Amino acid sequence: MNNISRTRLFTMYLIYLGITFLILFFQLIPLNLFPEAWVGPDILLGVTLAWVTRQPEFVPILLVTVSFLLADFLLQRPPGLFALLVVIGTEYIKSHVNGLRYASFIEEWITAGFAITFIIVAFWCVQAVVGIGQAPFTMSLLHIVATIITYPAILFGSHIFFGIRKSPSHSDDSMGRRS
Amino acid sequence: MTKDRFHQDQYSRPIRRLLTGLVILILFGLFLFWRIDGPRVERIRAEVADQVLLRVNWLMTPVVSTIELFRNFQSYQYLAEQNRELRTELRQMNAWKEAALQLEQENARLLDLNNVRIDPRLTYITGNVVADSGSPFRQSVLLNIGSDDGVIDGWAAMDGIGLVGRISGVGKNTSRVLLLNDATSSVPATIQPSGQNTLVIGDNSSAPLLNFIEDSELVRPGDRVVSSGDGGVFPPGLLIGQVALDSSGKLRLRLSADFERLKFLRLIRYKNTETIDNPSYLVFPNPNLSQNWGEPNR
Repeated sequence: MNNISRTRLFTMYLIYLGITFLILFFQLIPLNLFPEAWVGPDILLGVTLAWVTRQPEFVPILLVTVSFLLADFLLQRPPGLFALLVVIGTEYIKSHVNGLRYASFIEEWITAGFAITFIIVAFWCVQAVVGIGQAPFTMSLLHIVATIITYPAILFGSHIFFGIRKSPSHSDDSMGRRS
Repeated sequence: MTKDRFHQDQYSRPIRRLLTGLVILILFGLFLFWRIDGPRVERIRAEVADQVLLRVNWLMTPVVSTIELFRNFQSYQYLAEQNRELRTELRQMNAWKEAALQLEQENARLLDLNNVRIDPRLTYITGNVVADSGSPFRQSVLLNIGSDDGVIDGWAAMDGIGLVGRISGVGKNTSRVLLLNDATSSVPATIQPSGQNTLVIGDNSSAPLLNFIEDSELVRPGDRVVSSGDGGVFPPGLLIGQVALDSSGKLRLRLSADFERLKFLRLIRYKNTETIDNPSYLVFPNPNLSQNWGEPNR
Protein backbone atom coordinates (compact mmCIF):
# COMPACT_ATOMS: atom_id res chain seq x y z
CA MET A 1 0.00 0.00 0.00
CA ASN A 2 2.89 2.27 0.75
CA ASN A 3 4.27 2.18 -2.75
CA ILE A 4 1.38 4.13 -4.24
CA SER A 5 2.28 7.76 -3.91
CA ARG A 6 0.04 10.05 -1.98
CA THR A 7 -0.58 12.32 -4.96
CA ARG A 8 -1.66 9.39 -7.11
CA LEU A 9 -4.00 8.28 -4.36
CA PHE A 10 -5.64 11.69 -4.04
CA THR A 11 -5.83 12.09 -7.80
CA MET A 12 -7.71 8.83 -8.00
CA TYR A 13 -10.09 9.94 -5.23
CA LEU A 14 -10.79 13.08 -7.19
CA ILE A 15 -11.23 11.16 -10.43
CA TYR A 16 -13.70 8.83 -8.74
CA LEU A 17 -15.71 11.76 -7.40
CA GLY A 18 -15.54 13.40 -10.83
CA ILE A 19 -16.90 10.24 -12.45
CA THR A 20 -19.71 10.18 -9.91
CA PHE A 21 -20.69 13.75 -10.69
CA LEU A 22 -20.45 13.18 -14.42
CA ILE A 23 -22.66 10.11 -14.32
CA LEU A 24 -25.24 11.80 -12.11
CA PHE A 25 -25.15 14.89 -14.30
CA PHE A 26 -25.88 12.96 -17.46
CA GLN A 27 -28.57 10.94 -15.75
CA LEU A 28 -30.31 14.07 -14.52
CA ILE A 29 -30.34 15.88 -17.85
CA PRO A 30 -33.96 16.04 -18.97
CA LEU A 31 -33.54 14.51 -22.41
CA ASN A 32 -36.00 11.67 -22.41
CA LEU A 33 -38.91 11.93 -20.03
CA PHE A 34 -40.83 9.04 -21.47
CA PRO A 35 -40.61 5.85 -19.45
CA GLU A 36 -38.65 3.32 -21.42
CA ALA A 37 -39.30 -0.39 -21.69
CA TRP A 38 -35.64 -1.26 -21.22
CA VAL A 39 -33.35 -0.16 -18.45
CA GLY A 40 -29.79 1.00 -18.86
CA PRO A 41 -26.91 -0.22 -16.74
CA ASP A 42 -25.95 1.30 -13.41
CA ILE A 43 -22.59 2.61 -14.56
CA LEU A 44 -21.65 4.08 -11.19
CA LEU A 45 -22.10 0.68 -9.56
CA GLY A 46 -20.06 -0.95 -12.32
CA VAL A 47 -17.22 1.53 -11.97
CA THR A 48 -17.17 1.15 -8.19
CA LEU A 49 -17.07 -2.63 -8.33
CA ALA A 50 -14.43 -2.64 -11.06
CA TRP A 51 -12.17 -0.34 -9.07
CA VAL A 52 -12.75 -2.23 -5.85
CA THR A 53 -11.82 -5.58 -7.37
CA ARG A 54 -8.76 -4.14 -9.10
CA GLN A 55 -7.40 -1.52 -6.72
CA PRO A 56 -9.42 -1.26 -3.52
CA GLU A 57 -7.21 1.47 -2.05
CA PHE A 58 -8.53 3.93 -4.64
CA VAL A 59 -12.10 3.64 -3.40
CA PRO A 60 -12.11 3.78 0.39
CA ILE A 61 -15.38 3.15 2.16
CA LEU A 62 -16.07 6.81 2.92
CA LEU A 63 -15.74 7.75 -0.76
CA VAL A 64 -18.19 5.04 -1.76
CA THR A 65 -20.57 6.13 0.97
CA VAL A 66 -20.48 9.77 -0.03
CA SER A 67 -21.01 9.23 -3.73
CA PHE A 68 -23.78 6.66 -3.37
CA LEU A 69 -25.53 8.70 -0.70
CA LEU A 70 -25.48 11.65 -3.07
CA ALA A 71 -26.86 9.41 -5.80
CA ASP A 72 -29.57 8.17 -3.42
CA PHE A 73 -30.61 11.71 -2.68
CA LEU A 74 -30.56 12.94 -6.26
CA LEU A 75 -32.10 9.89 -7.91
CA GLN A 76 -35.13 9.71 -5.62
CA ARG A 77 -34.11 6.46 -4.00
CA PRO A 78 -34.78 5.78 -0.32
CA PRO A 79 -31.79 7.59 1.21
CA GLY A 80 -29.14 5.28 2.59
CA LEU A 81 -30.51 1.96 1.43
CA PHE A 82 -28.70 1.56 -1.87
CA ALA A 83 -25.55 3.09 -0.38
CA LEU A 84 -25.74 0.60 2.48
CA LEU A 85 -25.99 -2.36 0.11
CA VAL A 86 -23.15 -1.09 -2.06
CA VAL A 87 -20.96 -0.62 1.01
CA ILE A 88 -21.71 -4.17 2.12
CA GLY A 89 -20.96 -5.48 -1.38
CA THR A 90 -17.71 -3.58 -1.79
CA GLU A 91 -16.49 -4.45 1.69
CA TYR A 92 -17.18 -8.10 0.96
CA ILE A 93 -15.12 -7.91 -2.21
CA LYS A 94 -12.37 -6.02 -0.38
CA SER A 95 -12.10 -8.77 2.20
CA HIS A 96 -11.68 -11.31 -0.57
CA VAL A 97 -9.36 -9.24 -2.72
CA ASN A 98 -6.38 -11.47 -1.96
CA GLY A 99 -8.14 -14.42 -3.51
CA LEU A 100 -9.19 -12.36 -6.49
CA ARG A 101 -5.70 -11.18 -7.27
CA TYR A 102 -4.80 -14.28 -9.21
CA ALA A 103 -8.29 -14.88 -10.49
CA SER A 104 -8.91 -14.95 -14.20
CA PHE A 105 -11.00 -12.31 -15.84
CA ILE A 106 -14.01 -14.60 -16.01
CA GLU A 107 -13.86 -15.29 -12.28
CA GLU A 108 -13.62 -11.60 -11.62
CA TRP A 109 -16.64 -10.99 -13.80
CA ILE A 110 -18.63 -13.67 -12.03
CA THR A 111 -17.77 -12.20 -8.62
CA ALA A 112 -18.84 -8.74 -9.75
CA GLY A 113 -21.98 -10.26 -11.25
CA PHE A 114 -22.87 -11.83 -7.94
CA ALA A 115 -22.27 -8.55 -6.13
CA ILE A 116 -24.45 -6.65 -8.64
CA THR A 117 -27.21 -9.22 -8.37
CA PHE A 118 -27.05 -9.21 -4.59
CA ILE A 119 -27.18 -5.40 -4.37
CA ILE A 120 -30.07 -4.87 -6.77
CA VAL A 121 -32.14 -7.86 -5.65
CA ALA A 122 -31.68 -6.97 -1.98
CA PHE A 123 -32.61 -3.37 -2.80
CA TRP A 124 -35.82 -4.54 -4.43
CA CYS A 125 -36.63 -6.99 -1.65
CA VAL A 126 -36.12 -4.49 1.17
CA GLN A 127 -38.31 -1.97 -0.61
CA ALA A 128 -40.97 -4.61 -1.12
CA VAL A 129 -40.81 -5.70 2.52
CA VAL A 130 -41.13 -2.23 4.01
CA GLY A 131 -43.82 -1.37 1.51
CA ILE A 132 -42.33 1.31 -0.70
CA GLY A 133 -44.07 1.63 -4.04
CA GLN A 134 -41.69 0.66 -6.80
CA ALA A 135 -41.33 -0.50 -10.35
CA PRO A 136 -41.98 -4.16 -11.23
CA PHE A 137 -39.22 -6.70 -10.61
CA THR A 138 -38.64 -7.34 -14.32
CA MET A 139 -37.15 -3.86 -14.56
CA SER A 140 -34.69 -4.64 -11.79
CA LEU A 141 -33.84 -7.87 -13.58
CA LEU A 142 -33.10 -5.96 -16.79
CA HIS A 143 -31.04 -3.53 -14.73
CA ILE A 144 -28.93 -6.39 -13.37
CA VAL A 145 -28.39 -7.91 -16.81
CA ALA A 146 -27.47 -4.55 -18.35
CA THR A 147 -25.01 -3.76 -15.57
CA ILE A 148 -23.35 -7.18 -15.80
CA ILE A 149 -23.08 -6.95 -19.58
CA THR A 150 -21.42 -3.54 -19.49
CA TYR A 151 -19.06 -4.54 -16.69
CA PRO A 152 -16.20 -5.74 -18.95
CA ALA A 153 -16.38 -2.51 -20.95
CA ILE A 154 -16.19 -0.49 -17.75
CA LEU A 155 -13.25 -2.58 -16.58
CA PHE A 156 -11.51 -2.07 -19.90
CA GLY A 157 -12.19 1.66 -19.83
CA SER A 158 -10.85 2.00 -16.29
CA HIS A 159 -7.77 0.06 -17.37
CA ILE A 160 -7.10 2.24 -20.40
CA PHE A 161 -8.01 5.69 -19.11
CA PHE A 162 -7.26 5.58 -15.40
CA GLY A 163 -4.67 2.83 -15.17
CA ILE A 164 -6.79 0.68 -12.89
CA ARG A 165 -5.09 -2.70 -13.04
CA LYS A 166 -4.55 -5.52 -10.66
CA SER A 167 -1.89 -4.49 -8.20
CA PRO A 168 0.51 -7.34 -7.57
CA SER A 169 2.78 -4.73 -6.01
CA HIS A 170 1.29 -5.00 -2.59
CA SER A 171 0.63 -8.70 -2.56
CA ASP A 172 2.53 -10.47 0.16
CA ASP A 173 5.01 -12.51 -1.83
CA SER A 174 6.23 -9.73 -4.11
CA MET A 175 6.59 -7.61 -1.01
CA GLY A 176 8.74 -10.30 0.51
CA ARG A 177 10.87 -10.56 -2.58
CA ARG A 178 11.50 -6.86 -2.68
CA SER A 179 12.47 -6.33 0.91
CA MET B 1 9.42 -3.46 5.91
CA THR B 2 7.45 -6.65 6.20
CA LYS B 3 7.41 -6.23 9.94
CA ASP B 4 6.32 -2.64 9.58
CA ARG B 5 3.50 -3.67 7.40
CA PHE B 6 2.46 -6.31 9.85
CA HIS B 7 2.28 -3.75 12.64
CA GLN B 8 0.36 -1.40 10.46
CA ASP B 9 -2.08 -4.13 9.64
CA GLN B 10 -2.48 -5.01 13.26
CA TYR B 11 -3.70 -1.54 14.05
CA SER B 12 -5.46 -0.62 10.86
CA ARG B 13 -7.53 -3.74 10.48
CA PRO B 14 -9.65 -3.33 13.64
CA ILE B 15 -10.01 0.37 12.91
CA ARG B 16 -11.13 -0.37 9.40
CA ARG B 17 -13.59 -2.92 10.66
CA LEU B 18 -14.93 -0.42 13.16
CA LEU B 19 -15.28 2.20 10.44
CA THR B 20 -17.15 -0.24 8.21
CA GLY B 21 -19.51 -1.12 11.04
CA LEU B 22 -20.06 2.53 11.81
CA VAL B 23 -20.80 3.44 8.19
CA ILE B 24 -23.23 0.55 7.83
CA LEU B 25 -24.94 1.54 11.06
CA ILE B 26 -25.25 5.18 10.00
CA LEU B 27 -26.63 4.32 6.57
CA PHE B 28 -29.11 1.89 8.05
CA GLY B 29 -30.10 4.48 10.63
CA LEU B 30 -30.65 7.03 7.89
CA PHE B 31 -32.86 4.65 5.98
CA LEU B 32 -34.83 3.83 9.13
CA PHE B 33 -35.17 7.50 9.98
CA TRP B 34 -36.45 8.19 6.46
CA ARG B 35 -38.98 5.41 6.82
CA ILE B 36 -40.20 6.79 10.15
CA ASP B 37 -40.03 10.51 9.57
CA GLY B 38 -40.21 10.75 5.78
CA PRO B 39 -41.19 14.42 5.37
CA ARG B 40 -38.15 15.72 7.20
CA VAL B 41 -35.68 13.68 5.16
CA GLU B 42 -37.58 14.53 1.98
CA ARG B 43 -37.15 18.19 2.84
CA ILE B 44 -33.41 17.60 3.15
CA ARG B 45 -33.53 15.85 -0.24
CA ALA B 46 -35.27 18.83 -1.79
CA GLU B 47 -32.58 21.11 -0.34
CA VAL B 48 -29.79 18.88 -1.67
CA ALA B 49 -31.34 18.88 -5.14
CA ASP B 50 -31.77 22.63 -4.88
CA GLN B 51 -28.13 23.22 -4.00
CA VAL B 52 -26.74 20.82 -6.59
CA LEU B 53 -28.99 22.12 -9.36
CA LEU B 54 -28.05 25.68 -8.52
CA ARG B 55 -24.40 24.83 -9.08
CA VAL B 56 -24.66 22.81 -12.26
CA ASN B 57 -27.47 24.66 -13.97
CA TRP B 58 -25.07 26.80 -16.00
CA LEU B 59 -23.58 23.60 -17.41
CA MET B 60 -26.84 21.77 -17.96
CA THR B 61 -28.40 24.24 -20.38
CA PRO B 62 -25.58 24.26 -22.97
CA VAL B 63 -25.19 20.48 -22.83
CA VAL B 64 -28.90 19.91 -23.33
CA SER B 65 -29.06 22.38 -26.23
CA THR B 66 -26.03 20.80 -27.88
CA ILE B 67 -27.52 17.33 -27.71
CA GLU B 68 -30.85 18.60 -28.97
CA LEU B 69 -29.09 20.34 -31.83
CA PHE B 70 -27.61 17.03 -32.96
CA ARG B 71 -30.94 15.34 -32.59
CA ASN B 72 -32.53 18.00 -34.72
CA PHE B 73 -29.97 17.39 -37.43
CA GLN B 74 -30.98 13.79 -37.46
CA SER B 75 -34.60 14.67 -37.79
CA TYR B 76 -34.14 17.02 -40.75
CA GLN B 77 -34.44 14.13 -43.15
CA TYR B 78 -37.94 13.44 -41.92
CA LEU B 79 -38.90 17.05 -42.19
CA ALA B 80 -40.46 17.03 -45.63
CA GLU B 81 -42.58 14.04 -44.86
CA GLN B 82 -43.57 15.46 -41.53
CA ASN B 83 -44.52 18.73 -43.16
CA ARG B 84 -46.94 17.03 -45.49
CA GLU B 85 -48.55 15.15 -42.64
CA LEU B 86 -48.86 18.30 -40.62
CA ARG B 87 -50.59 20.07 -43.47
CA THR B 88 -53.30 17.44 -43.71
CA GLU B 89 -53.66 17.44 -39.97
CA LEU B 90 -53.94 21.19 -39.95
CA ARG B 91 -56.78 21.07 -42.44
CA GLN B 92 -58.68 18.68 -40.20
CA MET B 93 -57.90 20.82 -37.19
CA ASN B 94 -59.35 23.88 -38.87
CA ALA B 95 -62.66 22.11 -39.21
CA TRP B 96 -62.51 21.15 -35.56
CA LYS B 97 -61.61 24.65 -34.57
CA GLU B 98 -64.66 26.01 -36.35
CA ALA B 99 -66.85 23.48 -34.56
CA ALA B 100 -65.26 24.30 -31.23
CA LEU B 101 -65.79 28.02 -31.69
CA GLN B 102 -69.43 27.53 -32.50
CA LEU B 103 -69.89 25.27 -29.50
CA GLU B 104 -68.09 27.72 -27.25
CA GLN B 105 -70.39 30.52 -28.30
CA GLU B 106 -73.42 28.35 -27.85
CA ASN B 107 -72.18 27.24 -24.46
CA ALA B 108 -71.60 30.80 -23.33
CA ARG B 109 -75.10 31.76 -24.49
CA LEU B 110 -76.69 28.87 -22.65
CA LEU B 111 -74.74 29.53 -19.46
CA ASP B 112 -75.80 33.13 -19.63
CA LEU B 113 -79.43 32.14 -20.12
CA ASN B 114 -79.35 29.84 -17.10
CA ASN B 115 -77.44 32.31 -14.97
CA VAL B 116 -74.85 29.70 -14.01
CA ARG B 117 -71.92 30.75 -11.90
CA ILE B 118 -68.73 28.96 -12.84
CA ASP B 119 -65.61 28.58 -10.71
CA PRO B 120 -63.24 31.45 -11.25
CA ARG B 121 -60.49 30.51 -13.66
CA LEU B 122 -57.61 28.83 -11.90
CA THR B 123 -54.47 30.90 -11.95
CA TYR B 124 -51.14 29.31 -12.66
CA ILE B 125 -47.42 29.79 -12.61
CA THR B 126 -45.17 28.30 -15.25
CA GLY B 127 -41.84 26.62 -14.65
CA ASN B 128 -39.10 25.18 -16.79
CA VAL B 129 -38.05 21.54 -16.56
CA VAL B 130 -34.40 21.51 -15.49
CA ALA B 131 -33.78 17.87 -14.63
CA ASP B 132 -35.48 14.51 -14.65
CA SER B 133 -35.46 11.81 -12.01
CA GLY B 134 -32.21 10.38 -13.35
CA SER B 135 -33.25 6.78 -12.92
CA PRO B 136 -35.54 4.55 -14.93
CA PHE B 137 -37.31 3.47 -11.76
CA ARG B 138 -38.71 6.84 -10.85
CA GLN B 139 -40.72 9.19 -12.99
CA SER B 140 -40.38 12.77 -11.90
CA VAL B 141 -39.02 16.08 -13.13
CA LEU B 142 -37.45 19.03 -11.40
CA LEU B 143 -38.75 22.53 -12.11
CA ASN B 144 -36.84 25.76 -11.70
CA ILE B 145 -39.44 27.34 -9.43
CA GLY B 146 -39.68 26.70 -5.72
CA SER B 147 -40.88 28.05 -2.44
CA ASP B 148 -39.46 31.47 -3.32
CA ASP B 149 -42.03 31.61 -6.10
CA GLY B 150 -44.80 30.47 -3.80
CA VAL B 151 -44.99 26.87 -4.94
CA ILE B 152 -46.75 24.62 -2.45
CA ASP B 153 -46.68 20.85 -2.14
CA GLY B 154 -49.61 19.13 -3.79
CA TRP B 155 -50.31 21.56 -6.63
CA ALA B 156 -51.28 20.07 -9.96
CA ALA B 157 -48.82 20.34 -12.84
CA MET B 158 -50.03 20.47 -16.44
CA ASP B 159 -48.51 20.98 -19.80
CA GLY B 160 -50.66 23.03 -22.16
CA ILE B 161 -53.26 20.29 -22.55
CA GLY B 162 -53.33 17.63 -19.90
CA LEU B 163 -52.40 16.84 -16.34
CA VAL B 164 -48.80 15.75 -15.87
CA GLY B 165 -48.42 15.17 -12.16
CA ARG B 166 -48.30 16.86 -8.83
CA ILE B 167 -45.74 18.75 -6.80
CA SER B 168 -44.02 16.55 -4.27
CA GLY B 169 -41.06 18.21 -2.65
CA VAL B 170 -40.34 21.92 -2.78
CA GLY B 171 -36.91 23.44 -2.37
CA LYS B 172 -36.01 27.11 -2.29
CA ASN B 173 -35.59 27.45 -6.03
CA THR B 174 -36.67 24.08 -7.33
CA SER B 175 -39.63 21.81 -6.95
CA ARG B 176 -40.19 18.22 -7.95
CA VAL B 177 -43.14 17.07 -9.98
CA LEU B 178 -44.13 13.46 -9.40
CA LEU B 179 -45.37 12.33 -12.80
CA LEU B 180 -48.58 10.37 -13.24
CA ASN B 181 -46.73 7.27 -14.42
CA ASP B 182 -44.52 6.96 -11.35
CA ALA B 183 -45.16 3.79 -9.40
CA THR B 184 -46.11 5.77 -6.30
CA SER B 185 -48.59 8.06 -8.01
CA SER B 186 -52.33 7.57 -7.89
CA VAL B 187 -54.89 10.22 -8.74
CA PRO B 188 -58.68 10.12 -8.37
CA ALA B 189 -60.39 10.71 -11.68
CA THR B 190 -63.73 10.57 -13.44
CA ILE B 191 -64.40 8.90 -16.75
CA GLN B 192 -66.70 10.85 -19.01
CA PRO B 193 -69.37 10.53 -20.25
CA SER B 194 -70.32 7.59 -18.01
CA GLY B 195 -69.31 9.43 -14.84
CA GLN B 196 -67.54 6.42 -13.36
CA ASN B 197 -64.98 7.16 -10.69
CA THR B 198 -61.57 5.64 -11.04
CA LEU B 199 -58.05 5.82 -9.76
CA VAL B 200 -55.20 6.54 -12.17
CA ILE B 201 -52.34 4.42 -10.88
CA GLY B 202 -48.86 4.77 -12.32
CA ASP B 203 -46.81 1.64 -12.90
CA ASN B 204 -43.69 3.04 -14.51
CA SER B 205 -45.04 2.46 -18.01
CA SER B 206 -46.11 5.13 -20.46
CA ALA B 207 -49.79 4.37 -19.86
CA PRO B 208 -50.99 4.33 -16.23
CA LEU B 209 -53.56 1.79 -15.11
CA LEU B 210 -57.18 2.66 -14.43
CA ASN B 211 -58.30 0.84 -11.34
CA PHE B 212 -61.29 0.60 -9.00
CA ILE B 213 -63.87 1.27 -11.68
CA GLU B 214 -67.28 0.43 -10.35
CA ASP B 215 -68.83 -0.76 -13.57
CA SER B 216 -66.26 -1.21 -16.27
CA GLU B 217 -68.96 -2.23 -18.74
CA LEU B 218 -69.87 1.42 -19.11
CA VAL B 219 -66.35 2.44 -20.00
CA ARG B 220 -65.21 2.41 -23.59
CA PRO B 221 -61.75 2.97 -25.02
CA GLY B 222 -61.56 6.58 -26.13
CA ASP B 223 -63.58 7.98 -23.23
CA ARG B 224 -62.18 11.12 -21.70
CA VAL B 225 -60.67 10.95 -18.22
CA VAL B 226 -60.60 14.09 -16.10
CA SER B 227 -59.52 14.69 -12.52
CA SER B 228 -62.43 14.29 -10.14
CA GLY B 229 -61.26 16.50 -7.30
CA ASP B 230 -62.01 13.79 -4.77
CA GLY B 231 -59.97 14.07 -1.63
CA GLY B 232 -59.15 17.67 -2.42
CA VAL B 233 -55.95 16.67 -4.19
CA PHE B 234 -56.60 18.37 -7.50
CA PRO B 235 -59.11 20.85 -8.78
CA PRO B 236 -61.84 18.90 -10.57
CA GLY B 237 -62.16 18.83 -14.33
CA LEU B 238 -58.53 18.88 -15.45
CA LEU B 239 -58.09 16.73 -18.53
CA ILE B 240 -55.84 13.74 -17.95
CA GLY B 241 -56.25 11.54 -21.00
CA GLN B 242 -58.28 8.92 -22.77
CA VAL B 243 -59.17 5.36 -21.89
CA ALA B 244 -57.30 2.67 -23.80
CA LEU B 245 -57.28 -1.10 -23.66
CA ASP B 246 -53.97 -2.90 -23.45
CA SER B 247 -53.22 -6.29 -24.94
CA SER B 248 -54.09 -8.15 -21.73
CA GLY B 249 -57.51 -6.50 -21.57
CA LYS B 250 -56.72 -4.09 -18.75
CA LEU B 251 -57.99 -0.55 -18.92
CA ARG B 252 -55.22 1.95 -19.20
CA LEU B 253 -54.94 5.65 -19.69
CA ARG B 254 -53.43 7.30 -22.74
CA LEU B 255 -52.10 10.56 -21.35
CA SER B 256 -53.08 13.76 -23.12
CA ALA B 257 -49.98 15.62 -22.06
CA ASP B 258 -47.01 15.15 -24.36
CA PHE B 259 -44.64 13.35 -22.03
CA GLU B 260 -41.93 13.18 -24.66
CA ARG B 261 -41.61 16.91 -24.75
CA LEU B 262 -42.11 18.23 -21.26
CA LYS B 263 -40.32 21.53 -21.31
CA PHE B 264 -42.58 24.00 -19.60
CA LEU B 265 -45.09 22.98 -16.98
CA ARG B 266 -47.82 25.11 -15.53
CA LEU B 267 -48.60 24.68 -11.86
CA ILE B 268 -52.22 25.28 -11.00
CA ARG B 269 -52.60 27.45 -7.92
CA TYR B 270 -55.22 25.65 -5.99
CA LYS B 271 -56.42 26.17 -2.50
CA ASN B 272 -58.75 23.51 -1.30
CA THR B 273 -62.30 24.47 -1.96
CA GLU B 274 -64.20 25.41 1.14
CA THR B 275 -65.55 22.29 2.70
CA ILE B 276 -68.81 22.23 4.52
CA ASP B 277 -67.91 20.38 7.68
CA ASN B 278 -70.57 21.67 10.04
CA PRO B 279 -74.00 20.51 9.00
CA SER B 280 -75.85 22.78 11.45
CA TYR B 281 -74.78 25.85 9.46
CA LEU B 282 -76.98 24.61 6.71
CA VAL B 283 -79.95 24.27 9.01
CA PHE B 284 -79.39 27.34 11.19
CA PRO B 285 -77.81 30.12 9.20
CA ASN B 286 -77.17 32.42 12.15
CA PRO B 287 -76.92 31.75 15.91
CA ASN B 288 -78.75 35.00 16.71
CA LEU B 289 -81.57 34.02 14.47
CA SER B 290 -81.80 30.63 16.07
CA GLN B 291 -82.22 32.29 19.49
CA ASN B 292 -85.13 34.29 18.19
CA TRP B 293 -86.44 31.21 16.63
CA GLY B 294 -86.78 29.68 20.10
CA GLU B 295 -89.28 32.35 21.11
CA PRO B 296 -91.83 32.57 18.38
CA ASN B 297 -93.98 35.13 20.26
CA ARG B 298 -91.62 38.04 19.80
